[in-house]
Amino acid sequence: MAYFLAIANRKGGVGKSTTAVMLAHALAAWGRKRVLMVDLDAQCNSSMILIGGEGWANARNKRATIGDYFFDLYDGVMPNAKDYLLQSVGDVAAPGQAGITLIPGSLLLEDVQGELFLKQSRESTDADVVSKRVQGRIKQLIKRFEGDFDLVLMDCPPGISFAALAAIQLSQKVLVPFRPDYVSQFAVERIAMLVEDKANLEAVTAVPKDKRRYVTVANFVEPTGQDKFFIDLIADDHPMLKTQLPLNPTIARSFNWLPQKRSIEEKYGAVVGDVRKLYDELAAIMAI
Amino acid sequence: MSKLIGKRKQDYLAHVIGQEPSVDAKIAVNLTERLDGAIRSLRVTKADLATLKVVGTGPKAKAAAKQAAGPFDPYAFNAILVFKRAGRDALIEKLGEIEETSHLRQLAEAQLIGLDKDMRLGPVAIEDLREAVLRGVERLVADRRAAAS
Repeated sequence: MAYFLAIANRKGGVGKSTTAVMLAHALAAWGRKRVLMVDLDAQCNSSMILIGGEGWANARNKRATIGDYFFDLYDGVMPNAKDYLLQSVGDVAAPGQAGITLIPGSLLLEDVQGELFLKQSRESTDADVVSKRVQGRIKQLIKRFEGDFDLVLMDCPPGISFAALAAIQLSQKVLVPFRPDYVSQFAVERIAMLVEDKANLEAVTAVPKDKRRYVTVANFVEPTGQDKFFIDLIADDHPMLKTQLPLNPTIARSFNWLPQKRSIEEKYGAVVGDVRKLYDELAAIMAI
Repeated sequence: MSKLIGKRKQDYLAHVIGQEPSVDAKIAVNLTERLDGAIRSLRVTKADLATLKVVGTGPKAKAAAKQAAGPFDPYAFNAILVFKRAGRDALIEKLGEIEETSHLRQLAEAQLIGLDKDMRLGPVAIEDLREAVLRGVERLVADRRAAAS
């Protein structure tokens, strides 16, 4: 049984893809895990970071993206699901059988979901029923690979789509990166309500923090009173990792993709300690 | 007239600059240091000194002296968390530790606590300003709850 972890926040620009990739590298290199990265974001950032622009374009041209996978397999037609997987991606070396496999992102993922909705609506006119069926089918399709991997990481898009909802429902844990700023507290609350399936903040906070299915992580943190102020506000109501990812140009630079594998220490250089802290804390929470 | 030099001159400059709400704490410290270096001595009236003469007597005056001497940290405590965890009286008590209107205004601005225009600008009774900060905090908390509903 694979562990399912979604990286999600309805707000954009909070570092979902970069956090997802850092974790994938760490889990493969340090945790010796077989990691499947499912790129559910139509911006395809985690794919670009893991296979480069050319690698992603090749996958698109071969119709081997997540959009193609959902579309082709939705009706139960049985092409080989493994044809959609790109193995041993990323430019970080991992020991033995460990490594990262990718289902590349698709620019057309939103359109594909729309088409799946239309397809399903031929069988029912109730929008809720149709939505649930599409989500359920997408969930089954993502779940299909669990036997081959120790961990399935799902990089969710900003906003909410059928695929993102399916990923959130499927996950044992949802990691919510946020920027410490004014609007982030609202964004964290929205995703918390969604994950916990609660109608308001009071209902969410009534669930003990250690029983909640999501955990937040502060990203792009500067050592200022203002950042601490917002982090304290969010931590008062929501579970939060002790690890904070700093605003650091070295992190941004470390996401350049190189065709040769290198050590994780070499890739992340001066910020490898931050990646390690994130990995250690999250691995302990996931108990993997 | 009194002649101020050394620490007394620096305290006086910090006090005067600290009255200006549009100058943030860090800039106030820099300005104080610059002026202190550029001005050998200050001659001020006894009336001007009256506020500083309070410094050194009693706990409130000591708190005021501390604020006048060092840069004010508008994040020294989180007003919203004090309110959420301990209630309105606790927040008023905490705000009571701040003796300068300019510092209260700095705190409100830094912690995104909205103040009405008559509280943001010009002379105002400090008790009224504390109440206004409290109302602003109540509004923020209610606003956040409403957004997540």
